[in-house]
Amino acid sequence: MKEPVIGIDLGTSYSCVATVIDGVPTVIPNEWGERIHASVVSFLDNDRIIVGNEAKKRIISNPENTVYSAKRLIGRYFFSEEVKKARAMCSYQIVEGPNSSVRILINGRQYSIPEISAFILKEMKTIAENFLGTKVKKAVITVPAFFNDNQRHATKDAGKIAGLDVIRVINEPTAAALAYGFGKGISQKVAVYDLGGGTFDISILDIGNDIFEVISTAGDTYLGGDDMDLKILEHFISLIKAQYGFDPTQDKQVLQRLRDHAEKAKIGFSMQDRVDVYIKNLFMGADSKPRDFHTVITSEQFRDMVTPILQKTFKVCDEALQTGRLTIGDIQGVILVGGPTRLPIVRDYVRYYFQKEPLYGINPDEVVAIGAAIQANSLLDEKKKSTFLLDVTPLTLRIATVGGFTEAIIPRNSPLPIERRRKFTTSRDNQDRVRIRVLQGESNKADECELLGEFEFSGFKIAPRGAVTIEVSFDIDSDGIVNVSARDVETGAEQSTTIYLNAGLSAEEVAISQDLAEEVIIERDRSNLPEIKD
Amino acid sequence: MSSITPEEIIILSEAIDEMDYYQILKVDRTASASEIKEAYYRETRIFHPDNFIHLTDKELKNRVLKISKLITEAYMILRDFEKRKRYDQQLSMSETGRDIRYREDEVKQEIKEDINSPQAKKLYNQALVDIMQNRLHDAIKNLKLALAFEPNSQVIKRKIEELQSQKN
Repeated sequence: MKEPVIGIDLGTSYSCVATVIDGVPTVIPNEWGERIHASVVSFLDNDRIIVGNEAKKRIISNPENTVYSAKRLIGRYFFSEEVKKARAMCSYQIVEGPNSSVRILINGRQYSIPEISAFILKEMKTIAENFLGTKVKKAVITVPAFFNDNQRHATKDAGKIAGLDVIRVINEPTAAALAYGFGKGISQKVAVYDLGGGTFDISILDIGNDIFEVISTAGDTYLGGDDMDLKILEHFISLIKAQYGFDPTQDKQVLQRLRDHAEKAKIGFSMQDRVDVYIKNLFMGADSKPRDFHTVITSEQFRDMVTPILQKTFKVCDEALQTGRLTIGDIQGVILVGGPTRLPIVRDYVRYYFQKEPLYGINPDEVVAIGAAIQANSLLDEKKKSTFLLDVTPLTLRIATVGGFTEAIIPRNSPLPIERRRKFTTSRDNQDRVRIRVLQGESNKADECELLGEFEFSGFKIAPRGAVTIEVSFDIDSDGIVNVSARDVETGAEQSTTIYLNAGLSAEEVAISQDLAEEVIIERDRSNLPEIKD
Repeated sequence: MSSITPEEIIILSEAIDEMDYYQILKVDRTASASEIKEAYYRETRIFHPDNFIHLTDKELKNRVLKISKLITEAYMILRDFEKRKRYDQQLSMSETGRDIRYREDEVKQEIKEDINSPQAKKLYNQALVDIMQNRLHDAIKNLKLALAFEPNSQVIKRKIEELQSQKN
């Protein structure tokens, strides 16, 4: 049997793992038949964790020890806006680690974000191994199209920590398009509308034969199905307050159960016009007798709740079209991704906005993982009969120049792999080192771009100004991961490089984390789990 | 899909250093834009590193990578009308055939650095960290100290001005 290879959609809210069996892309369920798994890690103690849907049940009941939406933090600096926002919203403790990195503090121990993501990836690996009955090593992992180098790198590190050999990192919208078989025929522009649990992304791809170019991408990292759940939850709370004079927000357990039922009610609208909610023994009344909660949500009520959320997504779509200098008429296909797009109301709005019937033949929760599995399979297919995917750089690679400006080195949408070289000379006598700040983004102003890192090259020979020329090479590999190196033009000697600022982990740190990931036990026996306490 | 032998990879990876972009893409100097695109797809389909994922020999892999990157480079220059024009001029001028890679700029960029004193450098770096962590007050303090060690540094002076205007 040939070596198994899996595709993993490592999502903000949910993750999914798939593989190709006898030529058929297949989502791998866990022992309980679940096909998607909450991207949540809950710590029982420092050596024992729960991952997935069981962990999700503890977000409210065990808030300090349950990490969710770690993807919002991956590959970011502690001082970034996104991390500030997360610190204000999250119930777990986000602290600053070495080199301005982000750490999560649980039971007095700090975890890096790749470590947290690695726990989720390890669970995906285990699910695949249990199903296939064999060890799994190789994987393709998907990332959002707008992910910069630091975020891609950190995702790859997470894979390594989980004991995976990440053969490729591909863009989520590209994976979705691969799952639908795009890339084999004529060139066309396709919009991928990805409404997830916590985030919304719209990407417009120009798909030619084999080549997937991301023309534009826009998103909102705090917009998704969770907002719909919250709307329903608010509705429940106000009903209970009015009916019983009881405030459910005072009781974490009650709140958690209401939240779970709010999500269930939302999912219910995928198939029904009205949803009946019945929760037995929700709380104790003043007379110490248990009270049940019962209500019905009509499709009109639901529509009113979710319309403002959907309107926000289309504002983001407007933005993506504008940056791509496109109009609705240029879009030849629309792909739906993410659980909430199963809701008929979402499809109605998308159809209305794009003036086109969206594609939803493949389960929108699974389509990205399926595309990743297809790509993983074709990468390992020695006969190379299947899809060949040519990816491009998502963002322009730049260096900082004087006065807060930048200069483009490799323009966005350059095919990969690619290398560009620049020559620099010394500006003063006996200068023995140079520092180069590398950024990614579409603005010529440094503060409007994302800082990738700062590199220092040293060990130049002692010489008058202008006499030393070094050639700096900027290299982006097939995964979109950047390498910077320099050599002395005259001697050809490689210059020693120090990375001054880098959100990523060093090779040693990855090795230490690998040990940690091996030691920590992911509790998988559900009958054995400790009860949820407050 | 034509299969390439390791020997062919080795030979090409050596020879490619002497090949201009047209030779790399196997097209005429007069090739049209669509011919160049077609040639790029043809060549990259053969030499894309994804096709060599099975190779265990690291050195051979690096040779493939080198070829693949030069194919992309050739395409990036020849698909851009302005760059191609400049490149053609460059080719016609170099008789020895040495100048076969596109020159980004005639002038080399100077390495911008005017802080020599190690103390000033250290303080300046600390200030950069302060700025990133939004400690403007500390940053200015460190920059002013740095200026004491390096009174003529334009970089430090500018940075102080920049921060002070931000603060106000």
